[in-house]
Amino acid sequence: MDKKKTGGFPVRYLLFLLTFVCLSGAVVTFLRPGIWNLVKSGADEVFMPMQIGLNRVGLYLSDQYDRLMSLRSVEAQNDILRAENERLKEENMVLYQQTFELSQMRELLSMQERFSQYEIIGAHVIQKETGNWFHEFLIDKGSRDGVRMGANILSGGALVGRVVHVGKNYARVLSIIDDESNVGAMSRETADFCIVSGDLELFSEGKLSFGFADKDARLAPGDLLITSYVSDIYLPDLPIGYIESVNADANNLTMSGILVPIADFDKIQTVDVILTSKSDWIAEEETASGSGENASAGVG
Amino acid sequence: MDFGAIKDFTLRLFFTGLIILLAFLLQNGLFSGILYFGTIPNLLLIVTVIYGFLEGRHTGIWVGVVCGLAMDLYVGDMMGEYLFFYLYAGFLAGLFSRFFYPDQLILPTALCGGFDLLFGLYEFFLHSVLQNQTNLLPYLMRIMLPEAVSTMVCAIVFFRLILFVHDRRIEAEQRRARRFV
Repeated sequence: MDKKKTGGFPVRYLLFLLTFVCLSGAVVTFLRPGIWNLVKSGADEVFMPMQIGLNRVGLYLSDQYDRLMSLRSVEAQNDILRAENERLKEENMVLYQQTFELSQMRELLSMQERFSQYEIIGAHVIQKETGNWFHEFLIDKGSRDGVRMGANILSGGALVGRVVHVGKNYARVLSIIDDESNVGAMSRETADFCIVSGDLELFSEGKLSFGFADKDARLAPGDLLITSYVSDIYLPDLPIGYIESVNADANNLTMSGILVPIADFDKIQTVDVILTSKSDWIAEEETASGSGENASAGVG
Repeated sequence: MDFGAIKDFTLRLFFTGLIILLAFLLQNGLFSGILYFGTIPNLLLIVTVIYGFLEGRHTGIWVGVVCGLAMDLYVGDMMGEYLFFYLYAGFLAGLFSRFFYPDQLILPTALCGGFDLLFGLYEFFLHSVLQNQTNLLPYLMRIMLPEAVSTMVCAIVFFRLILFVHDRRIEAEQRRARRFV
């Protein structure tokens, strides 16, 4: 059929001819690559403008394509980022809380610096009551070391109790979580007064209760309670713990609530004993500021 | 030789050249660079095989010569590497033209895929075996089969395109023949 169409020129001759041209061309260009490079560079003059034009079209298309693809990846990324945002929010909240705690800890630290005016010695806990919680415990410092009745005991910069019995080389300490312990306390922010007492039900949770706060007292969860000036045993400004909840009492005159102590009563091993007693402190204050005393007396 | 025949021949040359140019630009510009999706379909081989299949050995050989020469000039290290294969691909595809009938898709597609695999083996022989690389399997899995598949997919489109041009040409020739007869 092909033979008839092309006027009788047999295909096989054409094929042989072209094959011969092809092979001889291959041999020539293989032996003389310079010739082929010359031809190629001439052909590039034709190809390149077409390629450049096509590249422009292609780049436009690929831009659109990339935009489409990036939209899809952006959507996926959006989901990831949204999840991350949630996580970061949570983290931020934790950090915010930690910052708050940090500032409180710094306050405690500054308070502890204030303790430096007191005479403090360290002591080891040598005996505790059975059970996890210290109601009363013995420390290895006694009257020989200057410990007296009513000496305030700190742990980790926070109040844990007072000395109720002094031996020669030991002292018995009543911790503030004990049922019988009552501490005059006030809010560090607002100086509103209340009484912190140990609670039989709460001590298993490691918490304290407080009560006898005025119904108008500005006490809120998170407030730091410190020992009040109104006490003949406890020195002022010793931190006790943070308010967890506040409730109005049924008598509509007072408020009470729950307090989380700062000291970890579960793990007390060493404590600080303040040898300076409240009466010592009062005497010191009087001698230190004779004129200031009149002013404060006037306020009182 | 009458004016109509020259006009027909010129038109035929023009459209064939246009399709070859389109395939060349797509293969070497668009698919190899910008719309690269893992493998490049051998579009010039498709054009050669389909022309051979549709219009016989002669056309197949000449289209193969043009396509092969273009590839040689564009990417070849020496003359003849592509030319030789495309030339014979066009010729061999022309042998299948007796099986052509309209609305047929499987045979030209399979032909394109088959010739592309042959082309892969040919390249493997030229580039790998002669350099003492005789393990065919990785070449087959990574290069030849993906290229054959993409070539077959593109063959469907190009077969439709070339068949459309072919049909218009046949119609025009028949109209001219009727007018004169």
